[in-house]
Amino acid sequence: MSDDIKNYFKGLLQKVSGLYVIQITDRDGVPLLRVSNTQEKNVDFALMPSFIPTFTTASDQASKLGLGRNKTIISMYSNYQVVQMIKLPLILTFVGAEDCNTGHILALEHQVDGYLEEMKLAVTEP
Amino acid sequence: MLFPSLNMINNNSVDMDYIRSIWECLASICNCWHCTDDLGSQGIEPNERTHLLADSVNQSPALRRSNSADLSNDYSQSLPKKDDQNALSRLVQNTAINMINVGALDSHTLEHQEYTDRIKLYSQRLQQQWNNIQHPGFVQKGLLKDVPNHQSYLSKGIHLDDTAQMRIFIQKSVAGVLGIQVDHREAVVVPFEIP
Repeated sequence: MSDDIKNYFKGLLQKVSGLYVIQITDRDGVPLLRVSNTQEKNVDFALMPSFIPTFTTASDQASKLGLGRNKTIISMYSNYQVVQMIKLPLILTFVGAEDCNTGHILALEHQVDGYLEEMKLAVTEP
Repeated sequence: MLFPSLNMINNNSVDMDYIRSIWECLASICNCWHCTDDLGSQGIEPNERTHLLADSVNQSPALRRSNSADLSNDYSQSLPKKDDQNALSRLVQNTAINMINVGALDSHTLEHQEYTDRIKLYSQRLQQQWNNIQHPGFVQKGLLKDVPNHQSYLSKGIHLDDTAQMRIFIQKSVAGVLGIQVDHREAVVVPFEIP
C-alpha cells in the first residue's frame, strides 16, 4: 500500500513540469514521505533537517509583523523555488525549478489533502 | 489566671473574624465600585493610587469570573499577591508571544539520534495505517476495470461481421478527418490601424 501512495505522489511530480521534490515532514523537519525526480540532485538544501523548522519559525514570527497568520510561503531563488505549506502538524514542501509554474504546484494541495489526513495520525501521539 | 486570657484570645479571634468579614464586605463593595468606575470612566488620568497591573488583572477572564461569583468568598487575603504574580506572568507571556524573536530560529534543531528515531517511528506507524486502510484516492488501473468477470468476454471469439463493421467505421472516420478543409476568405493577419 505504501508503494501505491509513493507512486501516486510520483505521478503528481510528473504532472507539473519542472517540479523536483515533494516532501512531507512533521514540523521539526522529520520526513514522513519524500518523492523526488532523480534527475535533479542539487535540491538538498531545501530538504536539510534545519530548513523546515526554520520555515515554521519564520512563518510564526512573520505573522507578528501585521500580515496575519499565513498558510503558504513561496521562496524564489535564482535556480529554484520552494513552496512550503502549513498543514499542522505536517509541513508540505515542494521544490521546483525557477520557471516552474507556481500555480500548478499550489493546485496540487487539494490532491494531497486526502493523504495528509492519514499521515497526521502517524505524527500525533496516540 | 489562665482562663481570662484564653477567653480574651477567643474574644479577640471572634472580633478579628468580625472585623475581617466587615473588611471583606467593604473590599468587595469597593471592588465593585472600582469596576463600575473603570467601566464608566475610561478616559481618567492614572494617579498614584492606580495599579499598573490592575487593568490587565481586571480584564482577565479568571477575575471576571470571580467578580460575577460570590465576591466575599473569593476575595481572600492571599489573593492580591497571587493576582499580581499571575498578571506579571501573563505580561511576560504576552510579551514573549508578541515579540519577533529571530534568535529562536536556531533553537529548533533536533539531535541526530532523535531525528532517526522519529523517522523509524513514523515509517512504522504509516505502514500500520496503510496496511489497514484502503485509501479512497487509490485508483484502480487497467482496461475493463469496471466490467465484472471480464475473462468471459475476452475469451469469446470475435465475429467477422463485427470486425468488418468496425473497419468500415474507422475508414469512414479517417476519410472524414482527412476531408476537413479550412476555407479562409479574409486575411488571416489583420494589421492594426494605427494612425
